[in-house]
Amino acid sequence: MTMRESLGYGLGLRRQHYETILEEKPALDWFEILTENYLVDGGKPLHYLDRVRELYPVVMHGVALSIGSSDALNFDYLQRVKTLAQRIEPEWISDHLCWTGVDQLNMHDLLPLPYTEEALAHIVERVKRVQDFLGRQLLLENVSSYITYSASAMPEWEFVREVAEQADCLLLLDVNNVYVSAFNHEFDPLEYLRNIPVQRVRQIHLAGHLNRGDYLIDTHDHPVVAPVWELYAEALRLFGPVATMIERDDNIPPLAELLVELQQARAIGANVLQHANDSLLNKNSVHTNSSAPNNSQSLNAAPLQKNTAGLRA
Amino acid sequence: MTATLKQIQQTLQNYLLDPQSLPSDLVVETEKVTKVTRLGIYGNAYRVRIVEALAADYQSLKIYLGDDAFAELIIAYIEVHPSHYFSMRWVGSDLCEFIRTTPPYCEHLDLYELAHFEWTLCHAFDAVQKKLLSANYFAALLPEQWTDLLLEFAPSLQIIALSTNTPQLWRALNADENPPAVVAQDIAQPWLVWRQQLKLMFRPATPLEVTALAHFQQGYSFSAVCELLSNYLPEQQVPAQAVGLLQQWLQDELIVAA
Repeated sequence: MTMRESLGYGLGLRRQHYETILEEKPALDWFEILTENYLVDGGKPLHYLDRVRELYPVVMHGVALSIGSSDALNFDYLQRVKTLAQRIEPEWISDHLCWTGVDQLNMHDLLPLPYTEEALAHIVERVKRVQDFLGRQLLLENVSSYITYSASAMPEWEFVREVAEQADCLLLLDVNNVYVSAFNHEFDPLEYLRNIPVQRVRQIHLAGHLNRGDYLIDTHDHPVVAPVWELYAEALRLFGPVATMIERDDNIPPLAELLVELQQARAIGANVLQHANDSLLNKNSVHTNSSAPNNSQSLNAAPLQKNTAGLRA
Repeated sequence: MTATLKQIQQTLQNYLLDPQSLPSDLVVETEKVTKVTRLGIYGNAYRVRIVEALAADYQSLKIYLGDDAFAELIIAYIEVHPSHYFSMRWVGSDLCEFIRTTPPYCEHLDLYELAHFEWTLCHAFDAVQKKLLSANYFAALLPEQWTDLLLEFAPSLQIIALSTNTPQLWRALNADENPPAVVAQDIAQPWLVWRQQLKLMFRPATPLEVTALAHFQQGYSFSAVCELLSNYLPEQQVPAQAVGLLQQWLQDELIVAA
């Protein structure tokens, strides 16, 4: 595995913004498309996608792979994904570590998996087949969840890590999903992040969620909340520069508003990574002060501990 | 015995499809959130998500029925037709037929026709765009080439027969205006629905135009279609009619390269 280069900061491509993007060519590094919206024969979706692609790098993000389903893989679907990838040459293709239906039905939801050895072996084998078919590594995203199966035998982070390592795939780390699931399942989000293999993380998602008091729901219809920004900073401290985007799927504001929100991600990224570089310089200096903060642990501890306590309050 | 992955998935999916089938030992609960609440998040999301997706495909139908009645319709629909499509794009495929055959919806022709019209527009919206033929192409044809001339139409083109004033109703609902009273006719009116570049188009067609169009689509040649038209028209009017239709179709950007 080689060292990655970050693609920078992006947004989800949404039809409400097509015209604005083409007219104003906003300063952002890339767009993420929802793959299935473009698996059509023609018309507006492909028309605008082709034009946006002329201006920006694009990554493909699917919701229908159903990598964890006990049904057979749908190679008709995968062929369409591959054909679209040939058309727009995305930087990468991602989908979710979940299942969406069984017995040939589709619930159109990112349903969580039981974290069992059986599910792990099943998914690892399927990821390998999908990667062989697509001729590239796949990015898999951790989903938000609201249930814990009685059958689960390992924590989610261990399952995610093992899938990535055994199948040799990459990860799309959704920081908001880690936060939401940590709240719902009462685990430490930092422990989650620390167990994710650093070199596998190729992209980060940020999003807003709905707070229902006793539980959180991943809705993508609000701005990113402060504790998720804090967790994002922690993720960057652990993983270094990673391509980052903000997802907004509902209650979609004007593009300018999302660009302002993305600016916050840039600022955090610049701050964290500068700090990390300074620490590295100190560490490598002959005259390093041994009490200087020079590793990720000292950078991690304070805000996340506070964060976790807040989650459990 | 530990449940298999497949058993776990079937149990959760059965619950989503039928909320009465609450599984007893599938999930664990926390101190704050019960199993019923946790599972209910998914049960609710399944229905809400599909109602929202179909509200985008059937926007005018939703306005016409109102939010609650529309949601009730869609929930009743997916109980009978759970999705087996990889994409939400196709989940509404059977809704028109469901409305046409299921009480109380089947008692309202306007509902069926509005749904049918909107679903037809959906197909026109994302059909493939083929290269258009221009008037110059036809002007350059030699006389003998007309005899065996075949025409191909834009893949977005669909012919739909409507017995009510559905397009007017759709237009009003789409423009956030008060819908006109529904007027039903004894004889259905054919309409052409297609896409011109990125713009959705529809217009009424005469029975003669539809006959000619349908035969071209079946692979009849220009001379064969003219012969067919002579069954409906005085022979001397046939060439002018045929050329008139061709001109109209060119203007509508309906004729594409084979």
